[in-house]
Amino acid sequence: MRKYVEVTLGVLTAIGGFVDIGDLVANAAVGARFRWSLAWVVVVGVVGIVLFAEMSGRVATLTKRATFDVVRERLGPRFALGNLIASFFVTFLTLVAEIAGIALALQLASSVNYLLLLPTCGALVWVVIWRVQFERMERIFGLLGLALIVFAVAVWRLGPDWGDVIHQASHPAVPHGEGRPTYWYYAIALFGAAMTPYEVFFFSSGAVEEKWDRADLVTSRANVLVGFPLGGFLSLAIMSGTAIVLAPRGIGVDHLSQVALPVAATLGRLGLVVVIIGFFAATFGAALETGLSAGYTVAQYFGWPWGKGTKPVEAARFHGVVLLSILLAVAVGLTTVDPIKVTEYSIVFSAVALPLTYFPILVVANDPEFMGDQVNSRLTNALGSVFLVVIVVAAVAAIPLMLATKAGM
Amino acid sequence: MAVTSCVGPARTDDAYRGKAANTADHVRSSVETAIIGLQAADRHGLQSAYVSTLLAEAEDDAAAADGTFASIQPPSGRSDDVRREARSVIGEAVDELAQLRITSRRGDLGHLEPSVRRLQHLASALDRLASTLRG
Repeated sequence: MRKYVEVTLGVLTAIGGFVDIGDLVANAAVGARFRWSLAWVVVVGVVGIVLFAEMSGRVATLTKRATFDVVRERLGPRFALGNLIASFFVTFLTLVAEIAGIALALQLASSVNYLLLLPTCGALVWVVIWRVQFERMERIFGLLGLALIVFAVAVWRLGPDWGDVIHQASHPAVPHGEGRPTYWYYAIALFGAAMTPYEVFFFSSGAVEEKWDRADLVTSRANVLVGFPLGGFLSLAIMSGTAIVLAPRGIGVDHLSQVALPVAATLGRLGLVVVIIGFFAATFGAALETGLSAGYTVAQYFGWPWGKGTKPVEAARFHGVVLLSILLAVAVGLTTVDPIKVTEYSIVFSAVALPLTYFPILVVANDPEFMGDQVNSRLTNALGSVFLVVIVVAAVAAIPLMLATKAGM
Repeated sequence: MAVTSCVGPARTDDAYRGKAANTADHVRSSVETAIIGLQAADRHGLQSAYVSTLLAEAEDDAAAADGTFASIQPPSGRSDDVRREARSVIGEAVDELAQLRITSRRGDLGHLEPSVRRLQHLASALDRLASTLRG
């Protein structure tokens, strides 16, 4: 019985923790501009993240070592250094966006300018990382993130023509007035948002932190196979909300306040409270994950002691990197750089860095020396290879499309 | 995201008209945002912190789009007329959003229907302007 409760809690946490500021902004912006014609990208992205998160969870559970640690040993320090630089840059950008996202969520509740709230938000993130137990931290924010289900409730209340929704989603086409490059630029942004590299670093490092063993493979797979697709459902609900309420009026999404608008307009005061709680939990949870991931990647590459479970005095450099990353992220946020812009760039650069993260995972998950009898199945390998091609194409096309479309203008 | 697309010189009258039409679209997006927000506030009594943030951001966006368009040099005398016409409608919209931001910060939005009607009128004017400019 306890096991079932644990698995259920893990799944619920995975659902609530799936959405971060990148998903909020990308899905809302795409829904308002392309309605459901890019919904297929969310599905593709979810399949991709399920595939690779399962692999990295399996690697971590069996080797008792996190992905970055194993990649360095298997592919050598030079390759891993390239991976480290790219991944750390993207994770740091995401951290800036997440901490700003927390401040923006609080601004919606208080109307205090988010810049005034940023330092407090950064401090809160660090205190939680420092003081709160790993599992509790993950559960609290993951479960609170379930508040974003309010988007699905709002969509159901709005009652769209489901036939039209299904038709648009299943017959993707470039909408009238939009260019093909812009359509593909947003497709890559959505894909990058769904497959952000920090998610697998955090997932695999978390498995080590929580001392998972073979028996926990069930929990790991349930989290990934059930939790992530249901998290993807939340992404589609956010997209649908803006597709129904904002798109017909030609409204573009430039602010978090607009992401909340479909819920506020449909469900009123209570809906607004719930959605702001959801924004807060999603961004706070992701800030914890990205803050920790910054420390994980650096410490695992250099072979330093790491982890929340390790005494701070023994993992001082790990905690130093986490603290420094948070301080720098707050400093970057305080330059008044547009947090939504940072989010958009972070997900596009995520797409660029994807092959460096996912290729090594595929290699290690196939190595019997590390994995024993738990190497990838043929089906997993076939899917993994197909995805790797998609990931490489997306990575190569991301920057040229960004330049050609002036970042999706 | 939207506003910076207007930046850059316009070398021909057609390009200038295109930039004016894009600006009208961006400002209309802000106006429509404010309309939905005010209608929801009227219907559901939404929390004032949220409504004032929404309106302030809508005004910021519209003002930024207006400012960016204003800084573009019209390539000829014909474009001067486009500039005059566009800035008149756009400026009216920005002023209306600013007024709403001021009253919402004072917690004094009061009866919202007239504000919504004025914004709807402005949204239609901006839509017509963009359509006319695009021919």
